[in-house]
Amino acid sequence: MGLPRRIAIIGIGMTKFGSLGAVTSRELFTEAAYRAMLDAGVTHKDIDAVFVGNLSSDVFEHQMHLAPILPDYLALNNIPSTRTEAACASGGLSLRTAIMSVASGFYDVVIAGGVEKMTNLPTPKVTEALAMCSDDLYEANVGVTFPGVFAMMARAHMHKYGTTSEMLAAAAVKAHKNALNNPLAQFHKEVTIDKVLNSPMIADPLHLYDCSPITDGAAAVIVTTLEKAKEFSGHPVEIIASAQASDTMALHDRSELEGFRSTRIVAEKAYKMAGITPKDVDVVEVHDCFTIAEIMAIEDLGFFPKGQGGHATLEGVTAIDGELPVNPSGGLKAKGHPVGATGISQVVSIVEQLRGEAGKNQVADAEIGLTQNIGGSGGTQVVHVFKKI
Amino acid sequence: MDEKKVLELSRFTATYTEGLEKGLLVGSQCTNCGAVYLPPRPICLDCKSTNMQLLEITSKNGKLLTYTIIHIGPPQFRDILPYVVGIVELDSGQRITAFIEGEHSKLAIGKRVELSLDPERKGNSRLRFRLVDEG
Ligand SMILES: [Zn+2]
Repeated sequence: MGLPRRIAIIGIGMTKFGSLGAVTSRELFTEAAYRAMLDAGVTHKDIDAVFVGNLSSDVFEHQMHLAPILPDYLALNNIPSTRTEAACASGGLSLRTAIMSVASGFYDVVIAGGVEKMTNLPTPKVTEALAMCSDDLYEANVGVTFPGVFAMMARAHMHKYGTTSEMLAAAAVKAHKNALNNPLAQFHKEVTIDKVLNSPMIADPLHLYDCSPITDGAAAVIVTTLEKAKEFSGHPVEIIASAQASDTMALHDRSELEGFRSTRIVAEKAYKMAGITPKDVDVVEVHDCFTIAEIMAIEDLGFFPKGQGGHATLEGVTAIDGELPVNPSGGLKAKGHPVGATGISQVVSIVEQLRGEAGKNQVADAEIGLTQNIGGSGGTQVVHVFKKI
Repeated sequence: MDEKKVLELSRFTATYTEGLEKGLLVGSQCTNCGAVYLPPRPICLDCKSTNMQLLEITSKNGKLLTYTIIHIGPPQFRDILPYVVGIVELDSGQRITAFIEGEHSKLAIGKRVELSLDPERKGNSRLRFRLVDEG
C-alpha cells in the first residue's frame, strides 16, 4: 500500500548547528524555512500550512505555544501551524504529519520543519529536561538519565553479543570524520578511538564521545505532491514510505534490552510501503543519539544480523566509501542534535545525497535513502524512505 | 474479554507510590489470565481484560538484567553521584528499574539483588535494590 497521492520534497534548508548564542527558535526556524522556500522556488502565497517538531521551547526558552510564532515571524500571516512533540522524533513526526496532510489532499504545499534552542540552560538542567523523555514515574524518579537508558542497553548488547567499547567508539570516529565535510555540522574535529575511550564517563559504559552534544539549530523542507512539484523550480525527491510505531515507555516493560522491537516494526512497515528490501537502500541517516543507538539501528533496520553492527562499524562497512554508508552527514553525534530539528536535518542530508549535492560526502550512485528517527528510548520510531527521481 | 468493567484508573500510579512509602511493592494481577504487572496496569497487555486486581508483590529477591553507573545526573540526585541504576528481574518474573546499592567493582549482569527501599527519599525514588554478597 503506497500513499494516496505521490509526495515529493522540493526544497531543503538548514541553519548552522552548534552553540549559537543569543538567537531564538523563531529566528532559527525562519532561517531554515526561508532557505527551503528559496530552494523550492515557492513564494509565501504557495504555502498552505506549517508543521514544526520541537521538544521543549517550554523548558529551554520559557515559551509554550511555539507553533503560531513561526508563521508569524515568517510573515505567513494566518495559515495553520502545528507543533509535534515526540521527544527526539519530533522532527520525523513533523514530516510525517506534513506528508499525511498533503497525501490526503487536505493541503498542497506545506513546510515541515524542526527547531530546538538548547544551550540557554546549563548541562544539568538540560540533563533533567531530557530525562523527562524517559518514563518520569518509573525511570527518571529512580535516577535514570537519558544517556543512562542507552547505557543500560549498551551493556546488555555487549553482554549478549560481545560488542566492545572500541566498536562503539568506531561509530563516533566515523561521525566526526564525516562531519569534517559538512559545513553546517557542530564539530569539525577528527577524533580517535583512544580519544573516545579516554573521554570522561557519562553513564558507564558510555563516554562523553559516545554521546551526541547539546545543540541549537533548525531544519526545514517543503513538501508537496509529485504532480504539483512540476510547477516549481526545486529539484524533487520522492518520499516512497512513511512509517511510525510506538513501544512501551519504560525499558523494563520490554522483553528485549539489546535492541528496539519498535525499529523492526517500523522498518517492516516502511519497506512494505516502499516495495523494497533493506538491500535496496543505498544510504541511511540513523538516529545515533549515542554510539550504541547506531549499532542497534543498523541491526534492527535489517542491514546487518543482530550482533554484527559493531563489527561492521569497526571494519568500515558503514563508511562513506563502504558497502552501506551510514550517517554521511556526521549524524547526531558530530553534526549535532538540536532535538526537534534532528529528524528534519536527517531528511535534508538524504535529499542532498539523492540529488547528488552532498559534495565531498557524496555517496556514489545513491538512488534510495532512508531516515530513522527515535523518540526517547524507542517509545516513538519514525522511518521515511526516499527515492531519486 | 467477557464483561466490560468501568475502570477506576486514577488510583493505579498513586497506589504504587503509596505502597513504596509503606515498604510494599504493589502490582496488579489480571484475574482473567493471571498475568502480574509491576508497576500495576489497568488493562492486561496479554488478554486485554480489565479485570485487574491490585496486589502486593511478595518477591523481594531477583537478579540484575542490566545496569549503568551514572556520572552526570540531574540536579536532584547530584548529592549521590556517581550512582548505579539498573533493571531488576524479580524471582516472580516482573521487571522494574531501580537504584542499585553495592560496590561498583561487584556489579555484573546476572548478580543477585534484594529489595532495600531508601527511607531518605520520597515517592517512587525510594525504590532501591542491594547487591547480595554471594561470598
Ligand atoms: Zn490477562
